[in-house]
This record gives sequence, C-alpha cells and structure tokens, in this order.
Amino acid sequence: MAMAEIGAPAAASRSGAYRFALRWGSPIFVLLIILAWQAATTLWQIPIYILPKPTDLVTGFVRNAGMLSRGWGITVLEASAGFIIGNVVSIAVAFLVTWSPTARAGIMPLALAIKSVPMVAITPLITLMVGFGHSTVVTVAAVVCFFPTLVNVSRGLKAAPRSQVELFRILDANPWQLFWKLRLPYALPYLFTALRITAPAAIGGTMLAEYVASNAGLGYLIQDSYTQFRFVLVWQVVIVATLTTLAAYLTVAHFERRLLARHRK
Amino acid sequence: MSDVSIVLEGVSKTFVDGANRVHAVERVDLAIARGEFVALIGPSGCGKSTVLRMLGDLESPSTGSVTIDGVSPGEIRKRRQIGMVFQEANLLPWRSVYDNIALPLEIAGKSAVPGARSIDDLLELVGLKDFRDALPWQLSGGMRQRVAIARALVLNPKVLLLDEPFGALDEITRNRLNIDLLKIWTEVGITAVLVTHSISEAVLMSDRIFVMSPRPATITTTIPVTLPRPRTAQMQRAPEFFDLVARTGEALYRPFETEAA
Repeated sequence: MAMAEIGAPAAASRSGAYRFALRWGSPIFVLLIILAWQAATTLWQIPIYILPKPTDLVTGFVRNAGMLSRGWGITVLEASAGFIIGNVVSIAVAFLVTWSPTARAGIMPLALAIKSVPMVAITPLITLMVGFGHSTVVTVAAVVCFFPTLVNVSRGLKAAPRSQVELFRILDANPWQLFWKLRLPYALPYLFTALRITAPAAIGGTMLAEYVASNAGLGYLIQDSYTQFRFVLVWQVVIVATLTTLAAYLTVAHFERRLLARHRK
Repeated sequence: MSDVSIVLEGVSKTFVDGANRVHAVERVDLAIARGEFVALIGPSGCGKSTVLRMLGDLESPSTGSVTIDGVSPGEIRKRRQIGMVFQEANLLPWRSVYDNIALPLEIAGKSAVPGARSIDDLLELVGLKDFRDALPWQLSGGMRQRVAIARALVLNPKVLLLDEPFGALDEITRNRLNIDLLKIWTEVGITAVLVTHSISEAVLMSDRIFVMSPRPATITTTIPVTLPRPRTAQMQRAPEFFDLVARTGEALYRPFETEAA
C-alpha cells in the first residue's frame, strides 16, 4: 500500500502531461511547421511557383473562395454518391458470398482482379464505358469503395463465435433472430472499419477521376489551375481536399464511437 | 410420469473428416433420474463433452439412441427445455446483465413461455441484483458465469447441461460458485449434467459420477456419491469426501497406469 501511495502523485503528474500532449501535441506541431514554412519562404525568398508562403495562401483564399466552394460541393456530392453506391452494392455482395459458396467462388477472384487494376488505369476504361463527366467520377468512387467493404463485411458476417451460435441453436432461434441479435452486431465493427477506409478513399477516387475525366470538382480544379500557372490555387485545393478527407474520416469515427460504445469487451 | 429423465442406449459417435474417422464416444449406456445431479468426468478431449453436446442436440449420435423425457433431444430443444452453460460465459458483449438474461425470452417470444422465471428473481438467485445494468466486460469471470447460469434457467428448462462451466476460473471462485450452483439447483429442482475434469468438483456436486475412459469415451465406472445434502464447503474436508475422491481418482487414472506398465 505504502508503495502505491508514494507512486501515485508521480503517476498522476505524468498522466497529466501525457493528457496535455495527447490533446495539444499535434496542433502545436502543425503550428510550428507553418511558422517554419513562413520563415523559410520569407528568409530565402522562395518563388511562389516553388513554394508559396502560408500568408499567400490565406490572403488568396478569399479571392478564390467561390471557385473553391463550387469545386468542393461537386466533389463532396460525387464522393458521397460513390461512397453510398459502392458500399451498398458491396454489402449486398458480402451477404451473397457469405451464404453461397458458389457465389463466393465466382465473385471473390473477380473482385480481387478488379481491385488489382490500378485506379489510374481503370478510370479511362470507365470513361469509355459510361462517358465523360459525373457518371464516370461516381463510378470510380464506387469502385474504390467496393473491395475494402466486401472483404471486411464478409469477414464480419462470420465473426460471431461458434459457441454463441450454438447458444442460439440451443434456444431454437430462427435464422432471422440469429442474424439480428448475433451476426449483425458482430459484423458492425468490421463494417465501420470498412467505412473508415472507404470514406477517405471515395474522395481520393473522386478527385482522381475529376482530374482525368471531368470538367468540374476539386480534381479538375487542380488540373485546370496547374495548366494556368495558378500555383496558389493548386495549393489551396490540396488544403481543402485534405481537410475534407480528414473530416470524412472523423465523421465515420464519430458514428463508430457512438454506435459501438457498448461493443467494448 | 416416470422418474427417468435422460436415457442413453448404446450411444456411439464417430466424426468423419475426409478420410479420417475419429471414434469419440463408444457404446455409452446411462439413465439419469429426474432431478438428479450427475457428473461426467474423464481426461481432456475424451469425448465427455460430445456426450453432453448430444444431449443438447448440438451433435447427433452415430448409433444408439438418446431420449429426454421420452423424446429426442431435438424435440426437447424445440420446446426450449434445455439450459446450457458453456465453459465461456458466452454473453453478448453489447448487452447488459439484464438484457443477456432476457435473450432467451426474446427469442422464445414472451407469450410463448408460460413457465418463464422473472429476471429480477434470477438476479437475486445468482447474487447479481446490484449488477443488472452492468456490461459483461465490467464483470469478473465468476460473475459472468453467474449471468450465464441465470440465462440458462430463465425459460425454466427441464435439463441443465454444464460443460466445464467453471473450468476457466481460479479454485476459490470455482468452489464458491459450485456451492451457490448447488443452492440454485436445489431451489429450481432440475436435472443437471455436469462435464468436468475436476475430481473434487464431481464429488462435491453430484449424486452419481460417471467415470469415462480416454478416447473413445465409454463409461468405465459409476460411483454413487453418498454424501448427504445439502452439501457444504466444510464437507470437502471430511474423510468420506477424501474417500470418494480417492475412489474416483483410482477409476479415472487406471487406464493410464495400465498403459504405462
């Protein structure tokens, strides 16, 4: 007991510092990088086309706000559509391959093959099939989401421990009860893992497709401003896209925490 | 109504896995009276759990017949008259203690279970009244098994199957749970079959001990436990207790000793 009492204050202050680092560590770090960036670009007079100053990016932001927000809106819409379509289709296929070995044998190699085609290569093919513009972009975003969700959800649907399945059998549960009360709750953490991967991936896929096969959205804006030598705008799009991706991830993580609060073992 | 609850006649079980055939259980005959507490004891992996799983309709016998109250285990299972406690508590981690115990009621549909017990009474019975809203991860291993016992009893089953229920717990906790389980068993008056590899547990709990041989499992010896009821923790220090432990141990270890010689 005495040992624990002596140890306690030190442990408490350490955990205080630890909590401070956890809370403020990365904002401080980001701030330091921005300050160093500003200092370096000013001190060495780095030209704007190599590396603009952070202040350039901020002041130019108001001027480009209209263009940025229009592009952002389109990208978010396309990415959301692709994310929803890709995940819904993928979850449906995950059910199919979980309950039909024949479907599994047919679909899984095909899914793996599609997954193995690089996105840069698949985008022009999709453009040829569905045409230049929004439909291609949404399709690419959906394709990006398909595989991670299929793999995770089909694993999740088998995640219920055997002995708990046997408990349900002893209770003569019907297949519907087995699914809702056991298999689905066990699959949810796997589904959220998939969503945490596919939410940012959908934005990445969307921007790639916009870059090569569309004339709207943040991906297109990068390509367009780059060819017009509007380097500050390129940087701004990158920043907006990064923050959007981060927000998408955090939104999914937030729902995951709330919905799975009781899943802790 | 007869006094016999469970009857196994010439029950064998062979598992076939491709070209491999494993004889898990060989010609087991036994009859268990209504309200009796029996133990199946044997070395690890001998097939005693397979016998229990056949009673719960989780396996079917390759030959022979199993009946509970004159009908097949499948029929008894469909009537939801089997309560089973596994080695793992098998609680659903996202459900509270109360909701875990309520699971069988939900599955059966409340209207369909006239004999169902009140969950609050069961919580009282297993000593978890103050933990009704706790989640499984907040409980100790012993408490989780108490929840599992309450859940097994909520539909007021005819048969309680216990598959090494306290095997993963430390001896002190295990001993307490055993004494409490006996109290519960006395109170609800149910036929209980306990699979264990602990000799003292088998002696403490049961009316009869069936000693099983290594694979393929068959019953080599039946030992009537003559200790009076209610059993107490103190009885475990009485000479009769040690005598029964010694006799069970002798029957259990005999196959290994002849093998070594």
